[in-house]
Amino acid sequence: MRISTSMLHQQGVSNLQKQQAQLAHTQAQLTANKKLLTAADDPAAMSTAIGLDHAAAQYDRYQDQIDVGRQRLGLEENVLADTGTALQRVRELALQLNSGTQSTATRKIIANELRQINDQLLSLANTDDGQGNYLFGGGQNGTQPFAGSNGNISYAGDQQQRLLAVTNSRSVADADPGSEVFQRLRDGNGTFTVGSASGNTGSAALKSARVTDAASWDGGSYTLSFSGGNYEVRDAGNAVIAGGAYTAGQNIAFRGIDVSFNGAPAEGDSFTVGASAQRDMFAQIEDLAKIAESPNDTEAQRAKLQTGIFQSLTALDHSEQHVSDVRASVGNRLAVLDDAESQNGAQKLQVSSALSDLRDLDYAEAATRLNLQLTALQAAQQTYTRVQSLSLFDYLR
Amino acid sequence: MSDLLSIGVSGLMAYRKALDTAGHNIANVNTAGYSRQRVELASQIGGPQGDGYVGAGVTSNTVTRISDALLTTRLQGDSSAYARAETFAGLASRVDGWLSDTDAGLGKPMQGFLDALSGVSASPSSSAARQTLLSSAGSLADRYNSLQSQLDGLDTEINQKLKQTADEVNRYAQSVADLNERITLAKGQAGGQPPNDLLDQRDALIKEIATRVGITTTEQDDGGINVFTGSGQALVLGRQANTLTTGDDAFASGRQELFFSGGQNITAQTSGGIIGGLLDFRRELLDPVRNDLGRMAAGLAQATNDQHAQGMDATGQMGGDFFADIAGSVYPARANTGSAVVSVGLADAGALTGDDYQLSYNGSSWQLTRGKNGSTVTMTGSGTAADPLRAEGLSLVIGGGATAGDRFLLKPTAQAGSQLRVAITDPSRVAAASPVRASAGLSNTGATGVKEITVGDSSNANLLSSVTIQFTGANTYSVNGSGSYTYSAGSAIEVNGWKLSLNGAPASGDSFTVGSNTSGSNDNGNARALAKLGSVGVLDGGRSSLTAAQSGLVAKAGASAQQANLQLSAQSAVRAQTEAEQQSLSGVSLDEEAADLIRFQQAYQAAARVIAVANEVFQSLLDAARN
Repeated sequence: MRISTSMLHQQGVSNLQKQQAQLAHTQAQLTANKKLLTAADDPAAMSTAIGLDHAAAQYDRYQDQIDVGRQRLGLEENVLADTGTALQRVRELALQLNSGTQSTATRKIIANELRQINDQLLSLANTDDGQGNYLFGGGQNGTQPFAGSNGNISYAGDQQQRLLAVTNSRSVADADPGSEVFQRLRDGNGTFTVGSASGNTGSAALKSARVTDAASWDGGSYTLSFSGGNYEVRDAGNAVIAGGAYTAGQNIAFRGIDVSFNGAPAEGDSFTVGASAQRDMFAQIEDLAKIAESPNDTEAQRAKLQTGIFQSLTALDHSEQHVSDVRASVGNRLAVLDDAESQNGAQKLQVSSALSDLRDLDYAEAATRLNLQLTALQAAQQTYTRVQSLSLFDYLR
Repeated sequence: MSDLLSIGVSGLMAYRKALDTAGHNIANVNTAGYSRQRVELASQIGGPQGDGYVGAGVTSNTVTRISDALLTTRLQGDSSAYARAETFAGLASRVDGWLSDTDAGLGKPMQGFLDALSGVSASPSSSAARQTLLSSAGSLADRYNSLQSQLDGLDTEINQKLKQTADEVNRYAQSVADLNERITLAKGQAGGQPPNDLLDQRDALIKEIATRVGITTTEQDDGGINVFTGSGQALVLGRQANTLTTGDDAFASGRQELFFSGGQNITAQTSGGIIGGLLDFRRELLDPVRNDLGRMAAGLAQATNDQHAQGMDATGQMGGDFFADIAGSVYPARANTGSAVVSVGLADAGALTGDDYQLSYNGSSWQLTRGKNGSTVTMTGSGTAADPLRAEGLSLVIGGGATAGDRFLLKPTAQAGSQLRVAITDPSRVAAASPVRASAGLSNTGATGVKEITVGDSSNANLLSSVTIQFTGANTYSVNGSGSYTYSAGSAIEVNGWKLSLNGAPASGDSFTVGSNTSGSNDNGNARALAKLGSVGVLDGGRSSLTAAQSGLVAKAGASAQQANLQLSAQSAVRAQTEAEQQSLSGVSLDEEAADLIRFQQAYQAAARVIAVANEVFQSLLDAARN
């Protein structure tokens, strides 16, 4: 093939340019630490990488939600633990009251302590999460959720729960509405209450109150009265539904429940049995404080007091159980967060490693390539200058 | 003896010419488009003599240009294809760079927006989180706006480049026509001898035209060359040059098209060269990318607004538009005679195709055709505001009177990217909360909690009204104290557009209240749904999420740029091959010319010697006569 001078020159230059272009690409890859500089390098890989970027960012968002949830649920758990401790103390005080060795003065002290515990519970119920959000306000944040005094506490929050999305499919509530923690409680044993009639003169005090067949309990009001060694139970329509001879301490059963009494009822003493009603934690404690302040001079007064304390203790049992249930649910949610975190972490690791495969530069490969390209460029440069320096004219003298 | 003298002289003359030509070749070694020349020598036959023919020396017939017309034509074609690929690849790599860049692309601001939504979902009452949401939404809108303006800038640049290149073509065409005239003249003056250097110049000019636009050429008998555009119009006809002009399209949509001599629109038939590259890029990459960007903007705005409208803001009102409404662009044909005005609404982003359309009126009804292939698109509706014409996600409202033949160009999403902007400025207007909240009566004995309350129909007029559900039995309930409805365990209670599901089995006397979620500033019911926006199907009939659409767009531009690069390197190799062939044939080799110089110099010196010998021979004859 005939070679023309300008062709030789052009070929040399275009070769140099080609080498330099490749070198520039490798340099850009090395300085950016990226295999894919633009989508044109590998559109499919770039598209996949963008999808994975979104996925990785989503896992980061889940992690943020998990962190928020963990902080709030951790705080709630602390508050619930404090609440449990407070209820424990209430229980101790109730037992002290029940021991019968208390004077009017010491009972007054107990009443005061109960009211202080109530104040403490109120402030626990109004805890904020450190970022100006009430922990137990539900969806409401404008006013503090619990307000009031003397056990008459109203709830200004609502029953909405904030759910935090922690994985693609799971959401976790980051708190419980205050109403569900402190208010959804019932007096008595949760099903029924027993009250002594104000004119009772005997020493009969409630010893046990149980539900034996929940389906038979109809929630009505009943009156249990003692007379002439017999007892009888009348319903709201004054019809006798149960009765018989009374022996001390026996179980009196009707409508799926049974009750028994300590002490001896006087002739004509009566007790009312009715359905439990909703009564929040604060009111329950206030009830106990009021019992502590009530007189216990006569046998009958002491019996009435014992009946009240018995019921308070039952209700306290339920309250403690309830708080501990909520606490267990918080614990479960914290466990879900841990689980979600490790699940997300594993998935994000996969995403990251896939991303790295797609996008990150293999330094060893790139450095070798750079060397190779440098050598090639050098060779091209040297060849060019050598070839260009040859001319027949040099010999025409 | 006079013969020998004239033979010597013929040699001197011929080799003087040959040396001149070699010198000319050497002088033009770096002249673009120059073809090496050669003096064609021939021996001169002598007169008949008794004992045979004695030659009469050498003569130079002509100076030949070493070139091949077929090769020249091939090189023109290859230059056209290369210039097209180079133009396309250059523009495509810019678009690819914008979209792929992690800092300039859509990825980061989209992530920022989703991060901020997630932040509001985690802390709905935090005004910092709400403010972050607004500013990150603003950044996202800004990025759409700036990408749109970059693409629009490219469109303007293409308009300018088209005009500039057409002007260059016109100048070259005029020069070719002038050269045609000079070549015909020069040929006549030299008795038919070719004016080699003019021919080279003309070939070079035609190659310049071919670099700018695809052409075909034919040679005339008188030595002139005619140049035709791809559409068959004569750009150069002998001594006559015509012009390419640029001008607005029929709809004045801000787009320049190519016209022949200011008349016929030849945009569609033009290919090859820089102009072909510009037109192909505009049609194959710029328009689809811009339409897709707009489609994503419309999808983002619609999906966000739809979900936002399902929630309640911190002021207790239902969520308003989060992003401002986006409308399609309409360009009436300049030739329209009626007064009709068409407005294009993007009613359903999921059904948008990213195509352009033409809407035309035939005197009684409207027809919609797809821009890229002219196929008919079926529309429903009548075109009034109450009942717009609907097709493929568009809603067209027509005002004023159209006359038959009126046409409109619809570019539904071409400018949508520039319209994306955040409509709310007050952080408290972010509708993070569910519009309704439910609570279970505290004395409930059976169903003791609300499992979930969701809104099915946020447009229900009574959505926010207070409602009390009172169970009158385990399976029956009344609404606001009246009626008796059957409750089946596990299924939701639906009233006024909301759905309520319960925890536990309801007992008689249980009650639930549902009402407006006023001042529910700490509720994240709607923020949670908003935070899922990135992954829910929004476009392509719900098949593509916004994030998938984004990676699709990047991949589309990237694949186009990649293909353009491959084409460029292929065309570059083809052109290099043809150039090598052409250079191999026509290029000047200095070494060859140096050898020729030596050769011709020696021959010249020898011819001079012949004259000397003739002189000596003649002298010896004179000497013989003198003695």
